Amino acid sequence: MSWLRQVRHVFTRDLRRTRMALGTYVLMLCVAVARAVEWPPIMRDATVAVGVLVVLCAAVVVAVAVLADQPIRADAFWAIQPLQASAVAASKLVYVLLLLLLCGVAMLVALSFWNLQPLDVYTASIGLFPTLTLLLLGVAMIATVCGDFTRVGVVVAAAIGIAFLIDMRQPEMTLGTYWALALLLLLGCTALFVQRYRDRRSRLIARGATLGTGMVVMLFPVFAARVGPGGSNLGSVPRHTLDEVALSLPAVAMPTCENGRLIVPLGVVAPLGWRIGLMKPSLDVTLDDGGTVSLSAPGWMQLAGSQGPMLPTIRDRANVSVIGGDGEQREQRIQIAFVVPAADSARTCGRIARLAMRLWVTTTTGTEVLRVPLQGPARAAAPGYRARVTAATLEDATVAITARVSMLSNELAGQRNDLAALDFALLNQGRGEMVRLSSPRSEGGSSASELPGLRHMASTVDLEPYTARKTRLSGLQSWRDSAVLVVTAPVERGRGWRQVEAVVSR
Amino acid sequence: MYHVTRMLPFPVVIQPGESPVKQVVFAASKAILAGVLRAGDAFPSVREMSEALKLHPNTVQKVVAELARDGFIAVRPGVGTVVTAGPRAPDPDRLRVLDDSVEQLVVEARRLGLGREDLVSAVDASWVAVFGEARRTGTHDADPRVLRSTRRSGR
Amino acid sequence: MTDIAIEAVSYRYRRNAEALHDVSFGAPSGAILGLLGSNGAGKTTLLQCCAGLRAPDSGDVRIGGAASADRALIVSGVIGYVAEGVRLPGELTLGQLERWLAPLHRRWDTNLATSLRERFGLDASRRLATLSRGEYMKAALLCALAAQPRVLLMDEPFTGIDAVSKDEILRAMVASAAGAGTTVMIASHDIAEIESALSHTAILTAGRLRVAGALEQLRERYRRITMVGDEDVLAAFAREQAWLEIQRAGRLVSIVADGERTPLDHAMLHRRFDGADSITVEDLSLRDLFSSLVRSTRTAPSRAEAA
Repeated sequence: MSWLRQVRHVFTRDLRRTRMALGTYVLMLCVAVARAVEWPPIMRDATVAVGVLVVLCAAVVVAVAVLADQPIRADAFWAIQPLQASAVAASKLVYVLLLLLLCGVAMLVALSFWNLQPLDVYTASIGLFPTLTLLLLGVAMIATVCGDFTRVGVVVAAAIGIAFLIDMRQPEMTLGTYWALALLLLLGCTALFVQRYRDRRSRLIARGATLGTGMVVMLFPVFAARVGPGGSNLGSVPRHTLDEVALSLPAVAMPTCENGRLIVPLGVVAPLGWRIGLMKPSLDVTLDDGGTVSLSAPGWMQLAGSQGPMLPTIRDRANVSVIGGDGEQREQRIQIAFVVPAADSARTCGRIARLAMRLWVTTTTGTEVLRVPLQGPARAAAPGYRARVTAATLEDATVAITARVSMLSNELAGQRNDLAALDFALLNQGRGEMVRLSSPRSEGGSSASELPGLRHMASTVDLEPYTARKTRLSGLQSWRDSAVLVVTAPVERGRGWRQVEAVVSR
Repeated sequence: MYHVTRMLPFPVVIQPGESPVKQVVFAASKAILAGVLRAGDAFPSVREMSEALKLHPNTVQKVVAELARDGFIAVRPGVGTVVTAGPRAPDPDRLRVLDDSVEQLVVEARRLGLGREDLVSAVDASWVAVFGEARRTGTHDADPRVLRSTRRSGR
Repeated sequence: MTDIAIEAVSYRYRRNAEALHDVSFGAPSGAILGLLGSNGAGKTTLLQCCAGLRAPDSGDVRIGGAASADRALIVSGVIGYVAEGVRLPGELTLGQLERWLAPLHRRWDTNLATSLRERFGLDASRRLATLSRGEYMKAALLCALAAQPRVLLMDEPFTGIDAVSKDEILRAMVASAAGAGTTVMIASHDIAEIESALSHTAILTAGRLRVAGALEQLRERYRRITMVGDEDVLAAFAREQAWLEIQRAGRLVSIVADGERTPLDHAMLHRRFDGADSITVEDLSLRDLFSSLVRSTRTAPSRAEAA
């Protein structure tokens, strides 16, 4: 039998043999797609982590398929048939490919529903390959050396456990680097997988090496998913603008220790529309005897509550409560919590310390995404976004809008959008006036990764006018007739890094 | 449900230990001499005997060769193997084949305290028992009615 | 030509003692060779090396001149291998398995498969996972036999098999040798049952080859000599170094002798030990030869006696 026919022969048998598990996988995909397209309605608020189940299901299917024709067992059935080892290995890889294709189809269905750009579809499916493939290949590698399903499960669980323990602080990886490394691992893993079938070596070193490779390969996507903001296709922020970001330590300068944590309040003044984050903050405390104690805080954190600018065009025409635009600065305050080892607690609190950290900066501009009418079919859709106004109150003294917003985000396309980053405003198209809205609280938020690389987020927001003082709408009737809810999303334009230092003193 | 194995047209049981060639040749010869197989009857092929007796085909080849050499059977191309008229005239060389067996017999008889005459009578009796009265003279007439087993218990 | 040539094969499992030490023997095309040995003597390892499932640490195996390494001859359909521990795909029925195997093997004989299935009394529509141990083994043998390889390697094929089916297996084995000229190497503990089907044998003890060769020749070479006599004669008899095994009781001594070391001529023996009451020279069954060889390993250092 020719090599290709052998591959097909084994593959079709695997299909038949694993039809139950495969069916479950397809079912999971359907549920994931249903969640992502928010239909049927019952799916809208379900809280099951379908994305995890999809991947888990795929991993189970792969493990079952490989275990049935395990390469290193002395009593393996395939080994005593006229089947070339490379053909059997290839058929397992084809099976993995099938799982990927099915996931890809599901993903395309979800994306098309959301009218996402062709580029997003492209990047989403390319993002799918490294993540899911490596995960499945890792499981396949582990299955080649483990005797039975239980053992494979144990190893995979251990790998997942290790994934959680991995330190969040790791060097930033751009998307390009990620893909390059992923491809390298992919090729290496495939070659090793085929070789495992060809030499059937069961000596301890070979088994250990295969197991190790499998676990590393499995962990890679998890590892990379925690990468700090990368993005190779964004501009970089020039040096001098970065310098505009000033760190200040407000009046409450005395570091306070509470329960083994050193809280350092920090103020950041930066142009409006800039998102600031901290990477690897560390605190060196100088002791009386001249020595230093080094404390650290977790990997990277994004300053909360950054507010994007509104569209300039709208701003020009609005005369009610608009907050800033380009050139305007904002001050934000955060608190960094450093972990203090118990032994050093007494010595460090209240001392002079030097704070050093790496600051990442992203510049954003706002783009209008949706305009949702308040009456009639109070809903609107745009590529990647959907919104529905469920309640609107426009009174003399009260302005309140309740809306349900959902979005599908392509995690690996470099855009890290978030529902929390959306801005809302009420626009009176007739009069050309705008009221900025914010949501003090939101309910029913759900955010889940339904399919690898795609994140679906939904939330119900209660919106009120942004400013503290009461807003009076003039021409209430025109507002009631022609107001629309405008939703804008910040679009990242540039990124930059800067190392900053400050001395925290009494 | 089980496949019906073709039985051979002469009785033979293979015991482990002794050469199977000898055993089968003995059984076949005995059957032919005793008239179980008559001249002109079909003799089983190598394949049939091999399968029926679970013997290696080479072993069966040797059996066939020996039986053919002794004149009991003949392989006819296109027809198959057939039983033939019978052994050739007595040949003093053939007697040498029995040397070992005769010697053992003689010694054993002596040991048991038997005399020469006793041994000759025993041989006579056995001859009659196997081949029937008519065989005493050495002719090759078939008389199946007098075929009896020569196996004594404890042998 | 599908002769088997095993040349200086050695194999060591990790740090344990060698499973096989410098084993060399062969079987001509069309032979049925019985590979005999106690448990742990190295039969399974040797068969796996012959099939190409395991790579020997040194030496090689050639079948019909072609190297058997890396499953090359399994892939090309020359070798068929079936062992006691083989794992069949449990979720398939026997019928489905036959249909799946048929296109893989060039010489698969569907009629033979059906005939064997009936003779073994197997049901084609039952899932393999539900078969009893004996039925499972029969199914595996059926697949191996129906594939009609040029060389068939069988490792303890009779485990758990009922007597009638054992017969059928032997018949099928012998028929394939007779019909297609298949060379067979079979490892089995049922020495007495398979002896008549064998044309050759190889006996292993503790990973070393003790005896190998055509059965006819071995039968002429190794004989049992039984002597009855007085103490002095028996003592003289026992002192001979050339005996493979000696057993004494009262006035009786029984030895297994190698005809190449000592002439086993009846008359000559009588002359040498003329004080003996009786001397009998008999054929040795393969089973008894095997037992003698194994017992002699356990009491004295082994001597390689390849024919």
